[in-house]
Amino acid sequence: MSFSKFFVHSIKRDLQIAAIQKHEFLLPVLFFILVIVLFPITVGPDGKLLARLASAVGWIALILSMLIALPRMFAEDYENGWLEQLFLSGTPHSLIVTSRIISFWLLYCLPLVICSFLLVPFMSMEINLWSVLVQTLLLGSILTACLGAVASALLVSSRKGGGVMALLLIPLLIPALIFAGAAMDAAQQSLPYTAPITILAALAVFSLTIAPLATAQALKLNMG
Amino acid sequence: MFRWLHPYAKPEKAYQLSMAFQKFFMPIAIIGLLVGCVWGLMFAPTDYQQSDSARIMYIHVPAAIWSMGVYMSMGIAGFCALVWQIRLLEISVLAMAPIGAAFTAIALFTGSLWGKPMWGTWWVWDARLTSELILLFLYLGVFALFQSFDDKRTGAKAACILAVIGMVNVPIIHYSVEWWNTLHQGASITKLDKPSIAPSMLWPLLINIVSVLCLFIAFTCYRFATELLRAESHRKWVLEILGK
Repeated sequence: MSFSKFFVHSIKRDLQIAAIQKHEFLLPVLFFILVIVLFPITVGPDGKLLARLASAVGWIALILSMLIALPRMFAEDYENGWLEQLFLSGTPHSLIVTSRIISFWLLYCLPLVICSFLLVPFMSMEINLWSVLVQTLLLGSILTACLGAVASALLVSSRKGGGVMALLLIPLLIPALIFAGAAMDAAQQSLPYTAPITILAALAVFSLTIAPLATAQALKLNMG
Repeated sequence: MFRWLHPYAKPEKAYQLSMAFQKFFMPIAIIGLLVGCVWGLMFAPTDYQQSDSARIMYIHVPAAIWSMGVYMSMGIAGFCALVWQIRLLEISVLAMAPIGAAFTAIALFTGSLWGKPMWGTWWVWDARLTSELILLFLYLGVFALFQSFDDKRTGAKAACILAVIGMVNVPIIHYSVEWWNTLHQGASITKLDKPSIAPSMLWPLLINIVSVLCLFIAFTCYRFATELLRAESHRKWVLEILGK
Protein backbone atom coordinates (compact mmCIF):
# COMPACT_ATOMS: atom_id res chain seq x y z
CA MET A 1 0.00 0.00 0.00
CA SER A 2 1.43 3.35 -0.95
CA PHE A 3 1.99 5.88 1.79
CA SER A 4 -0.65 8.35 0.66
CA LYS A 5 -3.18 5.54 0.31
CA PHE A 6 -2.34 4.30 3.78
CA PHE A 7 -2.69 7.81 5.12
CA VAL A 8 -6.19 8.30 3.68
CA HIS A 9 -7.22 4.80 4.64
CA SER A 10 -6.17 5.14 8.25
CA ILE A 11 -7.95 8.47 8.68
CA LYS A 12 -11.06 6.90 7.14
CA ARG A 13 -10.85 4.03 9.58
CA ASP A 14 -10.65 6.37 12.56
CA LEU A 15 -13.66 8.32 11.34
CA GLN A 16 -15.65 5.14 10.79
CA ILE A 17 -14.86 3.89 14.26
CA ALA A 18 -15.93 7.24 15.68
CA ALA A 19 -19.18 7.02 13.72
CA ILE A 20 -19.95 3.76 15.48
CA GLN A 21 -19.10 5.04 18.97
CA LYS A 22 -20.76 8.42 18.79
CA HIS A 23 -20.93 9.02 22.51
CA GLU A 24 -17.13 8.81 22.71
CA PHE A 25 -16.51 11.91 20.74
CA LEU A 26 -19.55 13.83 21.87
CA LEU A 27 -18.39 13.81 25.49
CA PRO A 28 -15.57 16.35 25.09
CA VAL A 29 -17.96 18.62 23.21
CA LEU A 30 -20.45 18.46 26.05
CA PHE A 31 -17.67 19.12 28.51
CA PHE A 32 -16.58 22.14 26.47
CA ILE A 33 -20.08 23.56 26.58
CA LEU A 34 -20.37 22.92 30.30
CA VAL A 35 -17.16 24.79 31.03
CA ILE A 36 -18.41 27.73 28.99
CA VAL A 37 -21.67 27.69 30.91
CA LEU A 38 -19.82 27.65 34.23
CA PHE A 39 -18.26 31.04 33.67
CA PRO A 40 -21.36 33.23 33.34
CA ILE A 41 -22.82 31.44 36.34
CA THR A 42 -19.80 31.94 38.59
CA VAL A 43 -18.88 35.42 37.38
CA GLY A 44 -22.41 36.75 37.17
CA PRO A 45 -24.48 37.92 34.22
CA ASP A 46 -22.58 41.17 33.65
CA GLY A 47 -22.36 41.38 29.86
CA LYS A 48 -19.36 43.70 29.68
CA LEU A 49 -17.19 41.61 31.97
CA LEU A 50 -18.23 38.42 30.21
CA ALA A 51 -17.36 39.87 26.82
CA ARG A 52 -13.95 40.80 28.17
CA LEU A 53 -13.41 37.24 29.41
CA ALA A 54 -14.93 35.45 26.44
CA SER A 55 -11.78 34.65 24.46
CA ALA A 56 -9.96 33.43 27.55
CA VAL A 57 -12.91 31.22 28.43
CA GLY A 58 -12.88 29.75 24.93
CA TRP A 59 -9.25 28.81 25.30
CA ILE A 60 -9.56 27.43 28.81
CA ALA A 61 -12.55 25.34 27.80
CA LEU A 62 -10.64 24.02 24.79
CA ILE A 63 -7.66 22.97 26.89
CA LEU A 64 -9.77 21.37 29.59
CA SER A 65 -11.80 19.34 27.14
CA MET A 66 -8.59 18.32 25.40
CA LEU A 67 -7.44 16.90 28.72
CA ILE A 68 -10.59 14.79 28.68
CA ALA A 69 -10.18 13.64 25.10
CA LEU A 70 -6.42 13.12 24.84
CA PRO A 71 -5.99 9.98 26.96
CA ARG A 72 -8.15 8.12 24.41
CA MET A 73 -6.00 9.11 21.47
CA PHE A 74 -3.95 5.90 21.40
CA ALA A 75 -5.38 3.95 24.32
CA GLU A 76 -7.79 1.66 22.50
CA ASP A 77 -5.49 0.79 19.62
CA TYR A 78 -2.66 0.23 22.05
CA GLU A 79 -4.67 -2.17 24.16
CA ASN A 80 -6.07 -4.30 21.35
CA GLY A 81 -2.70 -4.55 19.63
CA TRP A 82 -3.62 -2.74 16.42
CA LEU A 83 -0.94 -0.14 16.97
CA GLU A 84 1.75 -2.73 17.49
CA GLN A 85 0.78 -4.51 14.27
CA LEU A 86 0.94 -1.22 12.40
CA PHE A 87 4.36 -0.46 13.83
CA LEU A 88 5.58 -3.86 12.71
CA SER A 89 4.10 -3.47 9.23
CA GLY A 90 6.97 -1.36 7.93
CA THR A 91 4.94 1.78 7.42
CA PRO A 92 6.92 4.80 8.67
CA HIS A 93 5.98 5.32 12.28
CA SER A 94 5.67 9.06 12.03
CA LEU A 95 3.18 8.61 9.18
CA ILE A 96 0.98 6.40 11.36
CA VAL A 97 1.14 8.97 14.12
CA THR A 98 0.50 11.93 11.82
CA SER A 99 -2.63 10.33 10.41
CA ARG A 100 -3.84 9.69 13.94
CA ILE A 101 -3.15 13.29 14.96
CA ILE A 102 -5.12 14.55 11.98
CA SER A 103 -8.09 12.27 12.58
CA PHE A 104 -8.01 13.23 16.26
CA TRP A 105 -8.06 16.88 15.28
CA LEU A 106 -11.01 16.30 12.94
CA LEU A 107 -12.94 14.35 15.56
CA TYR A 108 -12.20 16.20 18.76
CA CYS A 109 -10.79 19.65 18.00
CA LEU A 110 -12.85 20.81 15.06
CA PRO A 111 -16.22 20.27 16.80
CA LEU A 112 -14.96 22.30 19.76
CA VAL A 113 -13.86 25.14 17.54
CA ILE A 114 -17.28 25.16 15.92
CA CYS A 115 -18.97 25.00 19.32
CA SER A 116 -17.04 28.06 20.41
CA PHE A 117 -19.74 29.97 18.55
CA LEU A 118 -21.73 29.55 21.76
CA LEU A 119 -19.52 32.23 23.26
CA VAL A 120 -21.31 34.78 21.12
CA PRO A 121 -24.73 34.39 22.74
CA PHE A 122 -23.57 33.10 26.15
CA MET A 123 -20.82 35.59 26.85
CA SER A 124 -22.05 38.45 24.63
CA MET A 125 -19.00 38.25 22.46
CA GLU A 126 -18.86 40.36 19.33
CA ILE A 127 -19.09 38.32 16.20
CA ASN A 128 -16.03 39.82 14.51
CA LEU A 129 -13.97 39.16 17.62
CA TRP A 130 -15.25 35.60 17.53
CA SER A 131 -13.92 35.22 13.99
CA VAL A 132 -10.45 36.12 15.29
CA LEU A 133 -10.85 33.72 18.18
CA VAL A 134 -11.74 30.95 15.74
CA GLN A 135 -8.53 31.57 13.85
CA THR A 136 -6.47 31.31 17.03
CA LEU A 137 -8.41 28.25 18.15
CA LEU A 138 -7.97 26.51 14.79
CA LEU A 139 -4.22 26.97 14.82
CA GLY A 140 -3.90 26.47 18.54
CA SER A 141 -5.87 23.24 18.49
CA ILE A 142 -3.45 21.81 15.92
CA LEU A 143 -0.64 22.65 18.32
CA THR A 144 -2.60 21.17 21.21
CA ALA A 145 -3.29 17.99 19.27
CA CYS A 146 0.40 17.61 18.42
CA LEU A 147 1.74 18.22 21.92
CA GLY A 148 -1.13 16.19 23.32
CA ALA A 149 -0.21 13.31 21.03
CA VAL A 150 3.23 13.22 22.61
CA ALA A 151 1.83 13.40 26.12
CA SER A 152 -0.82 10.80 25.44
CA ALA A 153 1.72 8.48 23.83
CA LEU A 154 4.06 8.85 26.78
CA LEU A 155 1.30 7.95 29.19
CA VAL A 156 -0.38 5.25 27.12
CA SER A 157 0.79 2.31 29.20
CA SER A 158 0.73 3.98 32.61
CA ARG A 159 -2.30 3.34 34.72
CA LYS A 160 -1.59 6.14 37.16
CA GLY A 161 -1.10 8.77 34.50
CA GLY A 162 -4.44 10.55 34.44
CA GLY A 163 -3.45 13.60 36.43
CA VAL A 164 -0.04 13.85 34.88
CA MET A 165 -1.50 14.78 31.48
CA ALA A 166 -2.23 18.33 32.62
CA LEU A 167 1.26 18.73 34.01
CA LEU A 168 2.78 17.61 30.72
CA LEU A 169 0.53 19.55 28.41
CA ILE A 170 -0.20 22.91 29.97
CA PRO A 171 3.35 24.25 30.46
CA LEU A 172 4.14 23.44 26.85
CA LEU A 173 1.04 25.27 25.67
CA ILE A 174 1.93 28.60 27.29
CA PRO A 175 3.46 30.13 24.13
CA ALA A 176 0.32 29.34 22.14
CA LEU A 177 -1.83 30.95 24.81
CA ILE A 178 0.33 34.05 24.86
CA PHE A 179 0.17 34.58 21.12
CA ALA A 180 -3.53 33.84 21.00
CA GLY A 181 -4.05 36.36 23.78
CA ALA A 182 -1.96 38.91 21.94
CA ALA A 183 -4.05 38.43 18.79
CA MET A 184 -7.28 38.82 20.75
CA ASP A 185 -5.99 41.96 22.48
CA ALA A 186 -5.00 43.51 19.18
CA ALA A 187 -8.35 42.63 17.64
CA GLN A 188 -10.20 44.12 20.59
CA GLN A 189 -8.41 47.42 20.05
CA SER A 190 -9.01 47.05 16.28
CA LEU A 191 -5.30 46.88 15.58
CA PRO A 192 -3.79 44.53 13.00
CA TYR A 193 -3.47 41.06 14.51
CA THR A 194 -1.74 39.17 11.69
CA ALA A 195 1.63 38.98 13.42
CA PRO A 196 0.64 36.85 16.43
CA ILE A 197 -1.60 34.70 14.22
CA THR A 198 1.30 33.98 11.87
CA ILE A 199 3.55 33.10 14.80
CA LEU A 200 0.82 30.79 16.05
CA ALA A 201 0.67 29.21 12.60
CA ALA A 202 4.44 28.81 12.63
CA LEU A 203 4.26 27.09 16.00
CA ALA A 204 1.54 24.78 14.70
CA VAL A 205 3.56 23.81 11.63
CA PHE A 206 6.70 23.36 13.70
CA SER A 207 4.95 21.09 16.16
CA LEU A 208 3.27 19.13 13.37
CA THR A 209 6.76 18.49 12.01
CA ILE A 210 8.48 17.51 15.24
CA ALA A 211 5.71 15.97 17.33
CA PRO A 212 5.10 12.83 15.18
CA LEU A 213 8.74 11.82 15.63
CA ALA A 214 8.58 12.23 19.40
CA THR A 215 5.19 10.52 19.54
CA ALA A 216 6.41 7.53 17.55
CA GLN A 217 9.41 7.29 19.84
CA ALA A 218 7.18 7.43 22.91
CA LEU A 219 4.83 4.75 21.56
CA LYS A 220 7.70 2.45 20.70
CA LEU A 221 8.98 2.89 24.21
CA ASN A 222 5.65 1.84 25.67
CA MET A 223 5.50 -1.25 23.48
CA GLY A 224 8.75 -2.28 25.15
CA MET B 1 37.00 8.74 20.12
CA PHE B 2 34.89 7.63 23.06
CA ARG B 3 37.26 4.88 24.04
CA TRP B 4 38.26 6.52 27.30
CA LEU B 5 34.58 6.89 28.18
CA HIS B 6 33.63 3.30 27.54
CA PRO B 7 34.67 1.82 30.90
CA TYR B 8 32.24 4.19 32.59
CA ALA B 9 29.27 2.59 30.87
CA LYS B 10 29.81 -0.15 33.40
CA PRO B 11 27.72 0.65 36.47
CA GLU B 12 30.46 -0.27 38.90
CA LYS B 13 32.98 2.16 37.35
CA ALA B 14 30.34 4.83 37.05
CA TYR B 15 29.51 4.42 40.71
CA GLN B 16 33.11 4.80 41.73
CA LEU B 17 33.62 7.83 39.50
CA SER B 18 30.50 9.60 40.72
CA MET B 19 31.36 8.95 44.34
CA ALA B 20 34.83 10.36 43.70
CA PHE B 21 33.28 13.42 42.03
CA GLN B 22 30.94 13.82 44.94
CA LYS B 23 33.80 13.66 47.44
CA PHE B 24 35.75 16.19 45.41
CA PHE B 25 33.02 18.74 44.75
CA MET B 26 31.15 18.66 48.03
CA PRO B 27 33.87 20.35 50.15
CA ILE B 28 34.49 22.93 47.41
CA ALA B 29 30.80 23.73 47.32
CA ILE B 30 30.46 24.03 51.08
CA ILE B 31 33.58 26.18 51.50
CA GLY B 32 32.68 28.29 48.49
CA LEU B 33 29.14 28.86 49.72
CA LEU B 34 30.37 29.78 53.19
CA VAL B 35 32.93 32.23 51.83
CA GLY B 36 30.54 33.67 49.27
CA CYS B 37 27.64 34.05 51.68
CA VAL B 38 29.68 35.54 54.51
CA TRP B 39 31.43 37.91 52.13
CA GLY B 40 28.24 38.79 50.33
CA LEU B 41 25.96 39.10 53.33
CA MET B 42 28.34 40.81 55.74
CA PHE B 43 31.24 42.51 54.01
CA ALA B 44 30.14 43.45 50.51
CA PRO B 45 28.99 47.09 50.22
CA THR B 46 25.27 47.76 50.43
CA ASP B 47 23.43 48.66 47.28
CA TYR B 48 22.94 52.43 47.03
CA GLN B 49 19.33 52.06 45.91
CA GLN B 50 18.07 48.90 47.48
CA SER B 51 20.17 49.00 50.66
CA ASP B 52 20.51 45.67 52.43
CA SER B 53 17.66 43.85 50.75
CA ALA B 54 19.74 43.51 47.58
CA ARG B 55 21.94 41.09 49.47
CA ILE B 56 19.47 38.33 48.76
CA MET B 57 20.86 38.33 45.24
CA TYR B 58 23.83 36.30 46.48
CA ILE B 59 21.43 33.41 46.84
CA HIS B 60 18.79 34.33 44.30
CA VAL B 61 21.02 34.83 41.27
CA PRO B 62 23.02 31.56 41.50
CA ALA B 63 19.85 29.55 42.07
CA ALA B 64 18.12 31.23 39.12
CA ILE B 65 21.09 30.78 36.79
CA TRP B 66 21.49 27.10 37.61
CA SER B 67 17.80 26.38 37.52
CA MET B 68 18.10 27.02 33.78
CA GLY B 69 21.51 25.39 33.52
CA VAL B 70 20.33 22.20 35.16
CA TYR B 71 17.43 21.95 32.75
CA MET B 72 19.81 22.35 29.81
CA SER B 73 22.13 19.62 31.09
CA MET B 74 19.14 17.41 31.84
CA GLY B 75 17.85 17.85 28.31
CA ILE B 76 21.24 17.09 26.80
CA ALA B 77 21.67 14.01 28.99
CA GLY B 78 18.16 12.87 28.02
CA PHE B 79 18.93 13.35 24.34
CA CYS B 80 22.13 11.35 24.56
CA ALA B 81 20.36 8.66 26.57
CA LEU B 82 17.72 8.28 23.85
CA VAL B 83 20.07 8.42 20.88
CA TRP B 84 22.79 6.12 22.19
CA GLN B 85 20.52 4.08 24.46
CA ILE B 86 22.69 4.62 27.51
CA ARG B 87 20.88 3.47 30.60
CA LEU B 88 23.16 5.30 33.00
CA LEU B 89 22.29 8.62 31.41
CA GLU B 90 18.61 7.91 31.97
CA ILE B 91 19.36 7.52 35.64
CA SER B 92 21.31 10.77 35.59
CA VAL B 93 18.31 12.63 34.15
CA LEU B 94 16.23 11.47 37.09
CA ALA B 95 19.06 12.36 39.45
CA MET B 96 19.06 15.94 38.15
CA ALA B 97 15.33 16.63 38.01
CA PRO B 98 14.53 17.17 41.73
CA ILE B 99 17.69 19.23 42.23
CA GLY B 100 16.73 21.51 39.39
CA ALA B 101 13.23 21.77 40.78
CA ALA B 102 14.67 22.71 44.15
CA PHE B 103 16.86 25.42 42.59
CA THR B 104 13.85 26.77 40.73
CA ALA B 105 11.78 26.82 43.88
CA ILE B 106 14.57 28.60 45.77
CA ALA B 107 14.89 31.16 42.99
CA LEU B 108 11.14 31.78 43.02
CA PHE B 109 10.95 31.99 46.80
CA THR B 110 13.91 34.32 47.27
CA GLY B 111 12.71 36.33 44.29
CA SER B 112 9.34 36.91 45.86
CA LEU B 113 11.00 37.82 49.17
CA TRP B 114 13.08 40.33 47.24
CA GLY B 115 10.12 41.57 45.30
CA LYS B 116 8.09 42.48 48.37
CA PRO B 117 10.26 45.42 49.54
CA MET B 118 11.40 46.43 46.05
CA TRP B 119 8.31 46.15 43.88
CA GLY B 120 5.84 46.25 46.75
CA THR B 121 4.33 42.89 45.87
CA TRP B 122 5.11 39.22 46.32
CA TRP B 123 4.37 38.35 42.75
CA VAL B 124 4.05 40.08 39.42
CA TRP B 125 3.41 38.42 36.10
CA ASP B 126 6.75 39.56 34.87
CA ALA B 127 8.51 37.70 32.09
CA ARG B 128 11.28 36.19 34.17
CA LEU B 129 9.03 35.17 37.01
CA THR B 130 6.59 33.55 34.65
CA SER B 131 9.17 31.57 32.72
CA GLU B 132 10.75 30.45 35.99
CA LEU B 133 7.37 29.25 37.21
CA ILE B 134 6.78 27.32 34.00
CA LEU B 135 10.25 25.83 34.37
CA LEU B 136 9.23 24.54 37.78
CA PHE B 137 6.20 22.85 36.23
CA LEU B 138 8.41 21.30 33.55
CA TYR B 139 10.67 19.83 36.22
CA LEU B 140 7.71 18.50 38.15
CA GLY B 141 6.31 17.05 34.92
CA VAL B 142 9.51 15.10 34.27
CA PHE B 143 9.43 13.65 37.74
CA ALA B 144 5.69 12.98 37.81
CA LEU B 145 5.95 11.19 34.48
CA PHE B 146 8.66 8.95 35.86
CA GLN B 147 6.57 8.19 38.94
CA SER B 148 3.51 7.24 36.94
CA PHE B 149 5.06 4.10 35.51
CA ASP B 150 5.34 0.80 37.31
CA ASP B 151 8.33 -0.17 35.23
CA LYS B 152 11.26 2.07 36.17
CA ARG B 153 13.07 1.68 32.88
CA THR B 154 10.06 2.74 30.80
CA GLY B 155 9.43 5.62 33.17
CA ALA B 156 13.03 6.78 32.89
CA LYS B 157 12.92 6.71 29.10
CA ALA B 158 9.62 8.58 29.05
CA ALA B 159 11.15 11.19 31.35
CA CYS B 160 14.06 11.54 28.92
CA ILE B 161 11.70 12.17 26.02
CA LEU B 162 9.89 14.80 28.03
CA ALA B 163 13.16 16.43 29.05
CA VAL B 164 14.18 16.71 25.41
CA ILE B 165 10.81 18.15 24.39
CA GLY B 166 11.08 20.60 27.24
CA MET B 167 14.52 21.63 26.12
CA VAL B 168 13.20 22.46 22.65
CA ASN B 169 10.38 24.41 24.27
CA VAL B 170 12.29 26.36 26.89
CA PRO B 171 13.60 29.01 24.46
CA ILE B 172 10.17 29.33 22.83
CA ILE B 173 8.51 29.76 26.21
CA HIS B 174 11.18 32.18 27.34
CA TYR B 175 10.91 34.50 24.36
CA SER B 176 7.15 34.34 24.08
CA VAL B 177 6.81 35.25 27.74
CA GLU B 178 9.26 38.09 27.32
CA TRP B 179 7.22 39.34 24.37
CA TRP B 180 4.00 39.00 26.32
CA ASN B 181 5.36 41.03 29.19
CA THR B 182 6.61 43.88 27.01
CA LEU B 183 3.29 43.87 25.24
CA HIS B 184 1.24 44.26 28.37
CA GLN B 185 3.22 46.32 30.79
CA GLY B 186 6.19 47.80 29.03
CA ALA B 187 7.60 50.46 31.31
CA SER B 188 5.45 50.08 34.37
CA ILE B 189 7.87 47.69 36.00
CA THR B 190 11.41 48.88 35.76
CA LYS B 191 13.06 45.54 35.75
CA LEU B 192 16.36 45.11 37.43
CA ASP B 193 18.49 45.91 34.46
CA LYS B 194 21.74 44.21 35.02
CA PRO B 195 23.61 47.00 36.75
CA SER B 196 27.22 47.43 35.89
CA ILE B 197 27.96 45.74 39.13
CA ALA B 198 30.85 46.88 41.31
CA PRO B 199 33.73 44.42 41.61
CA SER B 200 33.33 44.33 45.39
CA MET B 201 29.84 42.91 44.89
CA LEU B 202 30.68 40.87 41.82
CA TRP B 203 33.26 38.65 43.49
CA PRO B 204 31.10 37.09 46.20
CA LEU B 205 28.37 36.65 43.59
CA LEU B 206 30.73 34.83 41.24
CA ILE B 207 32.00 32.67 44.09
CA ASN B 208 28.46 31.73 44.96
CA ILE B 209 27.54 30.99 41.34
CA VAL B 210 30.50 28.64 40.98
CA SER B 211 29.91 26.95 44.31
CA VAL B 212 26.23 26.39 43.57
CA LEU B 213 27.38 24.66 40.39
CA CYS B 214 29.71 22.51 42.48
CA LEU B 215 26.84 21.79 44.84
CA PHE B 216 24.72 20.71 41.89
CA ILE B 217 27.43 18.40 40.63
CA ALA B 218 27.96 16.91 44.07
CA PHE B 219 24.27 16.35 44.70
CA THR B 220 23.73 14.91 41.25
CA CYS B 221 26.61 12.49 41.66
CA TYR B 222 25.33 11.43 45.03
CA ARG B 223 21.78 10.89 43.82
CA PHE B 224 23.09 9.18 40.71
CA ALA B 225 25.21 6.79 42.77
CA THR B 226 22.33 6.01 45.08
CA GLU B 227 19.93 5.39 42.22
CA LEU B 228 22.53 3.19 40.62
CA LEU B 229 22.81 1.09 43.75
CA ARG B 230 19.04 0.73 43.86
CA ALA B 231 18.78 -0.20 40.18
CA GLU B 232 21.58 -2.73 40.44
CA SER B 233 20.69 -3.98 43.88
CA HIS B 234 20.81 -7.62 42.82
CA ARG B 235 24.37 -7.41 41.51
CA LYS B 236 27.41 -8.71 43.23
CA TRP B 237 29.39 -5.47 43.29
CA VAL B 238 26.57 -3.69 45.08
CA LEU B 239 26.49 -6.32 47.75
CA GLU B 240 30.24 -6.00 48.12
CA ILE B 241 30.02 -2.25 48.56
CA LEU B 242 27.15 -2.46 50.98
CA GLY B 243 28.81 -5.28 52.89
CA LYS B 244 31.88 -3.18 53.53
